[in-house]
Amino acid sequence: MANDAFSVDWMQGWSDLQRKIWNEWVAMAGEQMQAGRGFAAVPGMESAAQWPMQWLQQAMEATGSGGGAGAGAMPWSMPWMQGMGAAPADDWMRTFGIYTPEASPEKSAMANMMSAANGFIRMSQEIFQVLQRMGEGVQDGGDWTRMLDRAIQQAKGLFTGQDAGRATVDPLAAWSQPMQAWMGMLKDHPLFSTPVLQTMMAGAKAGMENHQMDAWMQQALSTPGLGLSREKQERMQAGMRDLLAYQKAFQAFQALSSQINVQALDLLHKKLLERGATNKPIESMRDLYVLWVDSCEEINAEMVRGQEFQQANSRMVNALVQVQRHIQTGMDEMLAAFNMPTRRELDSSHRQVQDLKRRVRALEEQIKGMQTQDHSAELRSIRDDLDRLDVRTLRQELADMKELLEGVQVGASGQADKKVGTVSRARAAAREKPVTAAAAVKKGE
Amino acid sequence: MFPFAMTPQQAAEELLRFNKKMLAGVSTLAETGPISAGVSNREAVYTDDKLVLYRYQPRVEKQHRVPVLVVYALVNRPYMADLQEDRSLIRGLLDEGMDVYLVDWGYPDGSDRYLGLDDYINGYLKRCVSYICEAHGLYRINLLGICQGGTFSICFTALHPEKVRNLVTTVTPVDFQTPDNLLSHWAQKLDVDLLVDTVGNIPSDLLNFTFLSMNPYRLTGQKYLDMVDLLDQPEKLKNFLRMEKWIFDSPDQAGEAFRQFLKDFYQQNALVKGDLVIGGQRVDLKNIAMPVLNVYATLDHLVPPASSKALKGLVGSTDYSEFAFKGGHIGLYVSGRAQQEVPPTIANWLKARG
Repeated sequence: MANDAFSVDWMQGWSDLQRKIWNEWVAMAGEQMQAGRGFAAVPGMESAAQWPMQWLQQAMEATGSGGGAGAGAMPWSMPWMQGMGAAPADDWMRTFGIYTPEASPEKSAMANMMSAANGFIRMSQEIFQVLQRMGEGVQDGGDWTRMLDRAIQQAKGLFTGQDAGRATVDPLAAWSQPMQAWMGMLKDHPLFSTPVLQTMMAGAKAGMENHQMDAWMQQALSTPGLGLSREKQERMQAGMRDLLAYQKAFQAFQALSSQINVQALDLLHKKLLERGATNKPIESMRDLYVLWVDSCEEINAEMVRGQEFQQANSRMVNALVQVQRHIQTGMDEMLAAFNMPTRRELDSSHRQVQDLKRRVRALEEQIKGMQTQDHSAELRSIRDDLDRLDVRTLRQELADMKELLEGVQVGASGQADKKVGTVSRARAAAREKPVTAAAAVKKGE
Repeated sequence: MFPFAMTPQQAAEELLRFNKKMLAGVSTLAETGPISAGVSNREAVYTDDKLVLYRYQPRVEKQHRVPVLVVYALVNRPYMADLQEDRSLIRGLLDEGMDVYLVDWGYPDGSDRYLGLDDYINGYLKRCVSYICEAHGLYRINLLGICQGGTFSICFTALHPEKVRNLVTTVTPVDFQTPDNLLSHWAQKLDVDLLVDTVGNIPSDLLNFTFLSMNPYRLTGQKYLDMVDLLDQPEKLKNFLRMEKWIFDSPDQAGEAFRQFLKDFYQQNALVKGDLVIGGQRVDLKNIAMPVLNVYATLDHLVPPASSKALKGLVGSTDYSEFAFKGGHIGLYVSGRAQQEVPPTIANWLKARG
C-alpha cells in the first residue's frame, strides 16, 4: 500500500481533483453567503457581496484554477492558499465574513485555533512539495531514503540559515509550526511586551548587529560622567549595560531554542524510517503533524532539563527583570518630577496598611482571648472530663436501666426497686475516681 | 519500505475536509456564548478581605458530623474542583455525605502585594477553620488540600495540630527538589528578590507561560488543532472551553507570598529539611500526629509523585495512608475515572476515622 502513493502519475487526475475541490469550495461559499455570512461584513469586500459569483469567477480565473486555462497550475495551489498571506485559514475565514477574532466571545481559543490551523495548512503546503519531489524521484527510479534524507537536511538548512533563500513560501513555514506559536507566545510574554522595552530593544538591535559597535558601546558606557549631570549619566549608562546584557542573554536563549527544531528534525527522520521499517506508514497529513509535534516535545523535554538551558533561561529572565527595574526607576523619577505618586510611594503605603492590618488583627485576637479566658479554662476541664468518661460503663448502666424499666412495666415493682439500689451504688463507686481527677484539674492541680 | 501511504490527492482531500470542518464549526464557536464553571449550589458564609469561604448545600439527607474544608492553591481558581456536573470532586464528596466548605482566595491586587505566607496560613486559613469550628461547635475539623493548598494545609496542621482532626492532601508538593521536578529546576537560579521587588505581584500570565513551557508544542499548537475536531460536538466543545477558561483564569500572585514560597520551598526545600519558619514558628511536621491520607497522581508532571510521597517519612502520624491515582495532575479532579475513584476513597477514609 505504501508504494501506491507513488505508483500514480502525480499530474494525472490533478485537474479532476482541482475541479472537485473548486466545486466544493464554491458550494461552501454559496452556503455561507446564503446564510448571510458573506462579504458584506468584510471591509473592502462590499462589492463582492453584490455579485459574489462574479467575484468567485474572477478569483478562479486569476488563480488559473477551476479547470480553465490555468488548469496546469502547480498541484499544491489549493483554493485556500491562493493569494493568501502568512495566515491562510485566517484570511479565508475573513474573506467569507464568517469570523473576526475581535467579535468572538471566545477570542483566545478562536485565535489559538486559527493560529494552529494556519500553521498546519502551511506545513501541509510545504509537505506537498516535498512529497511531489520524492514521488517524481521514485518514479524515475531514485532511492527514496536518500531523497528523504535530502528533504530533512534542506529543512534543517532553513533553521540554520544555510538554505533560507530557497524556501518556496516561507523559510520556516513548514517546520517551525508549532515552534512559531510558541515563539509568538514568548513575544507576548508579560515581561517582554512592555512598549518601552520593545522600543529600547529595537534601538539596541540596530546597534548590536555590528561587533565593533558593540565594543565601542561597552567602552562608551564605561566612561565616567562629570559635573552636574554625573549621577544621571551614570544611571543611564547602567541602564544601557543592563539592556545589552539582556539582549545577549536573549540571543543565547533563542539560539538554544532553535536547536530544538534542528534536533527534532533528526528525530523525525529516525521515526519516519522506523515507521517504514515496522510497516506503519504515515497515512495522513495529521499523522505527520502529530509525529512532528511528538519529536519536538521529546527534544524539548530533554533540553529543558539540562543545566545549559536552565542557566540560559534564568540568565535571560533575570537580565530582563533588571532592565524592567531600570525602566521603573526612570518612570518613578519622571512621575516625581510631575508631583505624581510613584510606584515606590504606593508600595510604601501598601506595606504600611498591611502592617496595620496585622496589628489590628493581633489586638482583636487578644481582646477575644481575654473575653473568653474563664470559659476556656472551663472548656478544658469539661473536655478532660469527657475524655475520662467510661463510655462502656455508661452503656451498661443504660442497658441495666432499660431492663429495669421494662421490669417495672410488667409489674415486678418490688424486685426492681431493689435492683436499682444495687446497680446505682456499684456505678457510683466506678465513677468516683474520674470525678475526683476532673475536680483536681478544675482546681488547677 | 516507503514511510508514506498517502497520495497528494488524499492529502489535498484531507485538507479540504479540515477546512470544511473548520468553516462549519467556527460559526458554532462564535455563537457559543459565555462559558460557566462551578456547578454545585453553595453559600458564602464568611468573608475576609478578598477571601470568601463557601459552604456547599448537602445532596444527601444524612451528613457526616465533621465538616471538611477544601483548601485550594493560590494559583488558578478553585472551581476546578467543581468544574461541571459530571466532573466535580466537590459534588462527589457531597454525594458521599460530606459537609463541604471551600476557601476561595480571590484575585489579589496591588494592595495585597505585602501579603505573606503568615497572613495566608496563620491569618486567613486559621480564621476560616475557627469560623467552621464555632459554627459546628467542634474543636477540630477535616482539611483537604489541593496542590499548593495541600502544602498550606500541611503547614497549618503542623502549626495548629489541635485544629485538625484528619488531614487529606491531594497532588501536594512536599519535597520540592526531587530530580524529576522541572519547575524546581527552573526556579533554582531565578533572582526572586529582584523579580518581586520589580514587578510587585507576579502577573498570572508569567505563571501560565511557565506552565505552558513544560509542553509548549502540544499546549500551544496541537491542542488547538485537535479542537477543530470538536467543533461539531457542542457539549465536548463546551467542556474544552471550560477547561480552557480554567487554565487561563488565573489570579496574580501576592508578591511577598510568592517570594517566600519560591525561596523557602523551591530554592531552600525548607519544609522537608525542617527549617521552615512561618510567622516566627518553626513548621515541625512531626506535630502532624492525626490520621493523614495522601492522594497523588502517578502521571503528574507538575508535582511528581516522589515529591508528594515524601510526606510519609516526615509526619508524626502512625495512621498514614496513600492513594495513587493513575492519571495526571488535573485528571485527578476532572477525568471520568477520577469521579469513580477519588471522592469515595476520600469520603470512606474520613468516615472510618470519625
